[in-house]
Amino acid sequence: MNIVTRTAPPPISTLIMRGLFDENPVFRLALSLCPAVAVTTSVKNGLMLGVAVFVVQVLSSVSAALIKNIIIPKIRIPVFTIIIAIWVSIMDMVLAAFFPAVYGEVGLYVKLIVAFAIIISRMELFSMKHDVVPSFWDGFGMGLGFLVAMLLTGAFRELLGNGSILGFQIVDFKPLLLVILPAGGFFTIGLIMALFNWIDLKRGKEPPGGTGCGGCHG
Amino acid sequence: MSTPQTAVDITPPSPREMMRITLGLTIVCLLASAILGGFYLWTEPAKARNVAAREQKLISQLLDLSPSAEVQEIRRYLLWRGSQLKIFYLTPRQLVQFDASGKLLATTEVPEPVREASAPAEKDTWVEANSGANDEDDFRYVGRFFSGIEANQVAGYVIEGEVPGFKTWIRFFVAINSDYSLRGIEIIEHEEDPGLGDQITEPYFKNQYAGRSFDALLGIEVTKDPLPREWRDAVESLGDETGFSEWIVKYADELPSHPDIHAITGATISSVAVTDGVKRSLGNFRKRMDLVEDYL
Amino acid sequence: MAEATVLNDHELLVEGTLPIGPEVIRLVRADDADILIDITGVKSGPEPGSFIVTAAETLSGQDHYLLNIAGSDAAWSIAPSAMAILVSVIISSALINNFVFTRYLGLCCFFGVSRKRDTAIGLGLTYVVVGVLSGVMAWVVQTFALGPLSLDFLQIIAFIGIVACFVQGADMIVKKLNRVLHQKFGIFLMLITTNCIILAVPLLNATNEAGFTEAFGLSLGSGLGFALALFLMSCARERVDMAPVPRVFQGLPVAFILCGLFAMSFLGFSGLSFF
Repeated sequence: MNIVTRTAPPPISTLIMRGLFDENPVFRLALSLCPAVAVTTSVKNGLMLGVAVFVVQVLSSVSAALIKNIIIPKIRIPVFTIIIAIWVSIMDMVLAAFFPAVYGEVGLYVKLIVAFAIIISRMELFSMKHDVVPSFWDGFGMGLGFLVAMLLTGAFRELLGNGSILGFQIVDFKPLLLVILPAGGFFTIGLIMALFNWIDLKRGKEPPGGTGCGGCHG
Repeated sequence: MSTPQTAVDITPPSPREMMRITLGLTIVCLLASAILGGFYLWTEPAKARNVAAREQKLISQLLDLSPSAEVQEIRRYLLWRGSQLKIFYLTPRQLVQFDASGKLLATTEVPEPVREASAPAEKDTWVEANSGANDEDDFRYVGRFFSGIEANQVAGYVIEGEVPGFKTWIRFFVAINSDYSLRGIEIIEHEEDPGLGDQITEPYFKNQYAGRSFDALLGIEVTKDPLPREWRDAVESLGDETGFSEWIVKYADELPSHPDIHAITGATISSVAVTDGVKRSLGNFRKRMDLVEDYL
Repeated sequence: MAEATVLNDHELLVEGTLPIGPEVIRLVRADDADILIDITGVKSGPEPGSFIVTAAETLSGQDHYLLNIAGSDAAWSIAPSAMAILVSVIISSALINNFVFTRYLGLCCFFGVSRKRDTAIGLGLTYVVVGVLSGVMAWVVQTFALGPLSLDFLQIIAFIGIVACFVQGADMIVKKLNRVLHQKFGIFLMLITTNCIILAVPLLNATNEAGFTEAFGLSLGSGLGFALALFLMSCARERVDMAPVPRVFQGLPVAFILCGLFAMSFLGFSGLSFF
């Protein structure tokens, strides 16, 4: 009945590095982009959504690893979706209750975490094959990768677009208003992706061909 | 979310398996609803409390209230029976009912539990039950304002208003003195574009309304002229460093030489929307106060 | 109910018999129904059986007004027609507030599918159909079940359930009815579940407490906007594939830059208004 084959889990450091750089959900896999562009007009908003995704990713990965032996394999995808929906709803309610000010700005995008391809693909690709502890670290790495991506983009856009970081004015003018405007989000992500590719080239590695949408076709 | 479908089995499952799947999914869904229901019951009161606390803090700031001051909420309701209209005001003490021409119809005492209720929904349910509305009537909550009471004296009012902005609704607070002159405005919720329309929350824009008299404000216009440097410094100084009472003493003479609101560069629509919203809320509030002032 | 329309900034054209004077006319905005709008005059209209009411404040054709005459049962509701609302919601959600370029939704499959024009058109069309149907279904569930029972906290789980069921169901039906069609569009049906727009539309409708017209308009408009964005993007990317792009920008980075350029050009639609 258990069709799942177990493979030895990679070491923790690999799991975290993979999430942060090699398979960074935003800059590499180009998954979960909607909020990455939408809420990163300031570090504060990026941080809020990053933390929400981080928590949901870790909890969902762990939940999937916990129940992988008791669910009927045929309905595992709907069950995964429901698990994510539960954690997202809980996150949504907690944030709305205890952080009303920030929630007002990112509320819709917190709800949309449920449609994030990255979360379910980690559950399906990793948690189904591994135990709770490696699944935790895998979720941790991927979530952290997303969080860092959000912070990086948020800092870049807030600094250049508004001349401030976390609301503290650094310079008294707006160096490049464009990056904070709707269109600027796309430019920022494009530039950071190019930067990742450049780092890869410097390290002597071939950057990924960049077809996009790594998880969309399964 | 993509992997799912490739894994779908082509052969139809047997009735026995179908039952298992249905049962399994039903249990999972019921469990999910139960968990979420539990969390909802836990977070909802906290949410209501936090939202109310945030509002109170904002109102105290806008009206410069001392910690001992009291903030009262007055909620408005309308009841349509066909084209017949009844108007309700819920003050902390009583529910006051008027007809469309402004004639007093009835007052009802508010019982203790409703007065203390933190969730607005509880108050609304009580008002509906006591409004005499039947199933065909259209009864609805339409808005609210607050009065700040300092040592048994009205220190000022805060009106909540909404106006369609560039993208969606802009929700704002307008704080006024008891002579209807404006103390300041605060944007509560908006979805204007970052970098452009979202500047309505910045002191250099929103403080331009401060200190205007009722009549001056109703006639105020939005200009696309750039905001003069020294006037910008003046309006930006209101708030953190200088309280409103100090500020108005210092700059009262300068207000008439800056009769217009200077629009945000690249966001004239948002600037005009806020100005129209403030004007309308203020005008309507004065008319409403003619009715309800004696019952506060 | 007889017709009444906003004629210009201060005048209303009303069908009915001329009232005795401005003092018996009760005109209010539906949102501020307790505040009377001052009436400065009333005169007979261009045609018999109609009259023109002049108001002191500026009236807007997009606002909702209520008019009645004291001492009679005559009442008018002056609001933009359902058709006008529908068209303006569609235009606004497809062009002015295009979901892809100004709200950044649906990006995941946007970049994956916009490489070839054929697939872009296929996904665009499939999305419009599925998006409208699931948007309407979610509206029904929200309006008649979740809303009245105050089960709003189940929104996320209910909407994702509806979308998933719908996509799965549509897939099965199309497969049984027309194999050729399924081979052509089946893959796109599956991609739709990864599209946040399909989930964002019901959530936005629920927050705005939209009526049926608005809900339908938003579903259709967002779908059309997504299809348009996908089509434009695929045309541009087919050309960029031929161009010598610096090594580090190849693939996704340049696609993002392109997308930013489109977003900038869509800014040109802002301020566009109809009716």
